[in-house]
Amino acid sequence: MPFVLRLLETLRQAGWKVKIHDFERLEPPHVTIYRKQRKWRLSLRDGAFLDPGDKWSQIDEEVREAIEAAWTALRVEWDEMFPDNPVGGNENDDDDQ
Amino acid sequence: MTTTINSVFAADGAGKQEGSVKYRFFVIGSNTDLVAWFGRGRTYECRGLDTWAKVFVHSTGESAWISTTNEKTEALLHAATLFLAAHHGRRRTLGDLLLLESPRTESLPALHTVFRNVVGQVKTTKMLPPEELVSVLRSPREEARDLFIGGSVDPKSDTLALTRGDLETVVVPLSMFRPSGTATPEPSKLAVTDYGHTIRLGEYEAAADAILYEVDPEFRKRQNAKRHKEDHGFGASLRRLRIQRRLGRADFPGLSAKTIARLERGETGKPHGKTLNVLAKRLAVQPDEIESY
Repeated sequence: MPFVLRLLETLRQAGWKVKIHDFERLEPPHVTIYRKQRKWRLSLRDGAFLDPGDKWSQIDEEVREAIEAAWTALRVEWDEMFPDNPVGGNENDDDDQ
Repeated sequence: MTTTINSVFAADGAGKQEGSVKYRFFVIGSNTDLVAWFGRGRTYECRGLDTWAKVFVHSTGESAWISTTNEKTEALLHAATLFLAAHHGRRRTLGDLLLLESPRTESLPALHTVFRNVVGQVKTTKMLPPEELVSVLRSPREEARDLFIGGSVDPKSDTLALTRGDLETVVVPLSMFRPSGTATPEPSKLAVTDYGHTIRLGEYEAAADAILYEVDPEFRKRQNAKRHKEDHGFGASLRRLRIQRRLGRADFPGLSAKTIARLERGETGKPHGKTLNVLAKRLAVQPDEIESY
């Protein structure tokens, strides 16, 4: 079951969705914002957009506020769904240095 | 019998001047919602072969025909076959065909001869909701090709055929969809949602871009071109693919975790021979494919 961030009804009606799917590109951990055909992938590690040209000004301010309010919860959800590649990095990877 | 056809242009996207047009849709039948969502263009009322021929003259390899009922598909096929025969094969195809109702099995060879891509051939095909379907089809092709408009599951071969917004189809093994912590894929409950961004298998959802990243080297190439400089190279690709396969660095027989770590950090050159083969085999790709991830 995907994680779907709860948004205001007005935002949902306008087509906004924020999701972490069960099957995702795993690296880097991210959440995806959707509106109709458009999507924006946001890194859960540093909050940066993953695709060039994407920026917050393209996204409804209330969607941004909802994401920022749920930031910790989104990171926790990712870690629960994909424990092999947690937001904080894999400790085992560091051991091999 | 009269057949109504609405011919609509869709704006082309990147690389073209704004307002230019390239793709032409022919909506066959009187599905008023569909016509309204596409936007009414020129309407043809085909009562005989002469009027059908007038419509065919306007079609090109970049045309897409959308047939709303099986009856309309039969009429289209009949008229198109006669038209192409009269042109002695000078016209190779009439473009692509999207069927909103599955056709007779016996008509499939002819449909595949007349049209380049035929989509929606089986009864189990699931399409996007009509409004979302039209919205994706009318998008610039550069955008539409990365979204899915429909799909069908073949339980015997354990495969999922997915049609992209440019009406090309990719086939993926259902084994790709590993259960997540909260859901197990149920292929019998296939749905395409979120304007083609999501493939739903029961409560399990897969992101379209994650599927395309697995099965389409050209998609990977486009995505990788967007990456930061430090994320390029064999080591970065190896790391991404290993994580995507949910493998640890110690999961490569005959190679130590330290060796994998050095490769991923780019501290050693790109491996060859036995090492490369071990990596590729464990990652379930061809050796020369690793760097494309």
